[in-house]
Amino acid sequence: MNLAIPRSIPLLFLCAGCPPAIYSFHANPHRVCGGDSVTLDWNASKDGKISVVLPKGTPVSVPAQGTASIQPTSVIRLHLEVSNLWGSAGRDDDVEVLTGRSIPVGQSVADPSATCEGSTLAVIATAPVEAWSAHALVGGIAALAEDKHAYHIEHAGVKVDLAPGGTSQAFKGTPVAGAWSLSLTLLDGEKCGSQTVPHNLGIQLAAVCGP
Amino acid sequence: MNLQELRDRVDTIVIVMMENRSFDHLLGSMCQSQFGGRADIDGIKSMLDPNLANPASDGTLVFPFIMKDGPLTNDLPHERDFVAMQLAPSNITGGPTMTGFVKAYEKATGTSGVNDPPPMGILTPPDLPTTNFLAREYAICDRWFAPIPASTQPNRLMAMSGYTERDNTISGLLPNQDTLFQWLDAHQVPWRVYSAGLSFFTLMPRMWPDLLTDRFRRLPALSFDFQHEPDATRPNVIVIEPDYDDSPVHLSGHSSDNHPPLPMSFGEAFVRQVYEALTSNPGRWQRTVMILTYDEHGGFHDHVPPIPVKCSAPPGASYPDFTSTGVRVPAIVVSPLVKRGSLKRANLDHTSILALLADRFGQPGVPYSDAVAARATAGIASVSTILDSGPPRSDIPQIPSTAIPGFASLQTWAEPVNAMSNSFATAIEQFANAHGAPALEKYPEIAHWLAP
Repeated sequence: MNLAIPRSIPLLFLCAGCPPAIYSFHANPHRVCGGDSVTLDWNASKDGKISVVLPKGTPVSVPAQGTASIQPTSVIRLHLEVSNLWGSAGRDDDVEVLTGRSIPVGQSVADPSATCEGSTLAVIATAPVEAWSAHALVGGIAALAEDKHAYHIEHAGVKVDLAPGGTSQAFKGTPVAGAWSLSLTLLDGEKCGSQTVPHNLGIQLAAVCGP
Repeated sequence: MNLQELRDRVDTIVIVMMENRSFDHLLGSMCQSQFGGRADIDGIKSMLDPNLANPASDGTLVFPFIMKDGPLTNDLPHERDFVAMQLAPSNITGGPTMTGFVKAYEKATGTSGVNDPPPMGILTPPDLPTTNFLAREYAICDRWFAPIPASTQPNRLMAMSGYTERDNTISGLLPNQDTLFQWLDAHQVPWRVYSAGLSFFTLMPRMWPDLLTDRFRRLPALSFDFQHEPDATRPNVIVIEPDYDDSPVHLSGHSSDNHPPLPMSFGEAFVRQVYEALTSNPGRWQRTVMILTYDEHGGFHDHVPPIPVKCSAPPGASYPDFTSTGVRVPAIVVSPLVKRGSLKRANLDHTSILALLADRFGQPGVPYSDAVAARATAGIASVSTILDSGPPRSDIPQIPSTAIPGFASLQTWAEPVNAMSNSFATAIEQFANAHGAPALEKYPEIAHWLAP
C-alpha cells in the first residue's frame, strides 16, 4: 500500500505550511529614565502583534519588519507574537525604568578582555550606550554580596579600590554607560589557569536618573 | 554492587529519558534549606554566588533565579555551536566557565533585554512533585552528563548506540546505527518499549518492523503487563518514552517530555504514572532498576563544567571530534537497590546505561562495545557501580497523589517548527508509506498527520 503524502511538497519546496518565525525583537535602550524614548525594532517572517504584557495592554498589529517608539513610565514587558494557520512564535523583551534599584554589572573571564597575571585578574565590563539611557547615572556602587575579593575599579576617569562588602560613592553622577575596568586580587588557593579562579568579576551598581 | 550481585539481584532495567533540562534547573534548588537542605548535592547552594552568574550583552550579570513552572515563550538554544558558546571556555580557568548561557539565548532568540532570561531559571520542589519525590526517596546522580555537547539527535544516538554519526539535530531520518536493541537481541535478552506517544525509534528505519510488533506497546499497558505478565515472556530491559513535544501528533492532546517551551506538569504526571506502574508489582519491583534522566540540558544553565571525554567523529564526517561530555543533566536511580535519599557522585553519562546492560547481560569482562569501553577508560562509570550492595529495600514509598500544578494548551497536532519536528514528520510519512495499513492500524494517530 502506498499512501499519498499531501504535506511533503509544501514542506520541502514551498513551505506554504510553515509556522512563522521571529528573527529579532529589540527594545533599545531598555534601561531608561521616565520620559526617555525607547525604539522597538523587530524582524519576523510575517506581520504580527506587539503587546505590553506586564502590565497588561492591548495588542497592536504591526508589519513583519518595523520600528516604533514608546515612552514607558514604568517597568514593562513587551511581547511580539506572530501566528498563522500552522503555528505561532513569540519573543519577550523588557524595558526597565530606573528607580535606583541595585543592578549587578560585570563580565565573565571568558571574555576576550580578561587577563590573569600573577595575583591580578581583570576584565572590562561594557554597559553599551544602546542599552542604557544617556540619563542613567551611577548613584553608588557596592561589592557583590558574596564576593570575598578586593577590587580596583576604573570608570569614566574615576579610580576606586573596593573592599569585600564595601561601598563607594566615588562614581556618583557618572554615566552608567561605558567601560567598567574591573580587577581583583586573587585569594590564597586561586591560581591563573585553573578552575580555582573566579569565573566572573562584578559589582552592584545603583542606577538613578539624572537631568 | 559487584557484578555477581548485579546478576543475582537485578532482573529488569527500565530506561526513562526525558528532554532538555539541566541538573541545576531541576534539582539544583534541593540543596537550599527551604527546598530540602541537601547540602551534599552539588547544586545552587546560593543564588548570590558570583561564580554562578552569567553576563548579559547589556553589561549586567544575571544570577540564577527561582522561576515558576509554566509554558515558556520560546525554546532555548542547544545545538552544538550554541552549547560551545554556553560553555564559554577560558584559558584563565583552564576550561569551561559555564558563563555563556544568557548571551547564547540572546543570540538565538534575537533579543537582548529580558531581565529574567529562562536559561538562568531554576524550578523548585513545589513545581516538581514527582521529580522531587523520587529524588528524596531514591538516589540522585550529580555527575551525570549528556554524552556530548550537542542537541537531541546526537545525544539520543549516543544513549541508544554508544556512538553517533551526526553532531547536530537535522531534518530527516536518523542513521541506521546499531542500537541497544540489536545488542540485546544478540545476547538473547528480551526487551520492550512503552510509549506515551509516537516512539523516537520511528525516526530510525531499521526499527520500523519492530514498531509493528508487540515489542512496542502503549504506555497504558505497562501497569497490567508489569503486574500480570508471566516470567516466560516478560522483558528484562524496558524503554519507556514520553509523548515527544516534537512529534506532530499527540493522541492524548498534549506532549509530556518536558521539552521547552512545554511546562513540566505533564512530564511530572507521566513519570508518576511510570513509577506507579512499576511499583504495582512489589515482587518484581524488588529486582528492578529504573533510570530517569534527560537527553541533554536544552539550553538551561548548569554550573558544573563538562568533563574531558573524547568522542571521535566517524570516518568521513565533516565535523570535528567532541572533546568533552555535554552539560550535566538530572539523573535519578529509582530502585530498591539504592538507599533512600542517597547521592551518587561517579562520573556518568548515557553510555553508563549501556555499560550496565553489558555488566548484567553480557559476557563477564566483555564491554558493551569498543566505543563504550573507551568512555569507561576516560572515566565514565557503569550504573552498576552506583547500586548499593546488600539486600534490597523492602519499603515502596508511595508517591503523593496530589494534583500536579501547571498548565499547557491542548494540541493534538502541530506543524513542524524545527529540525527535530521535521524529522518526526518525515519519519511518520515514510513509515506509513513503507508499512501502510499495519502502520495505520497500530498507530491510528498518524492518520491525523497524513490526512489532507
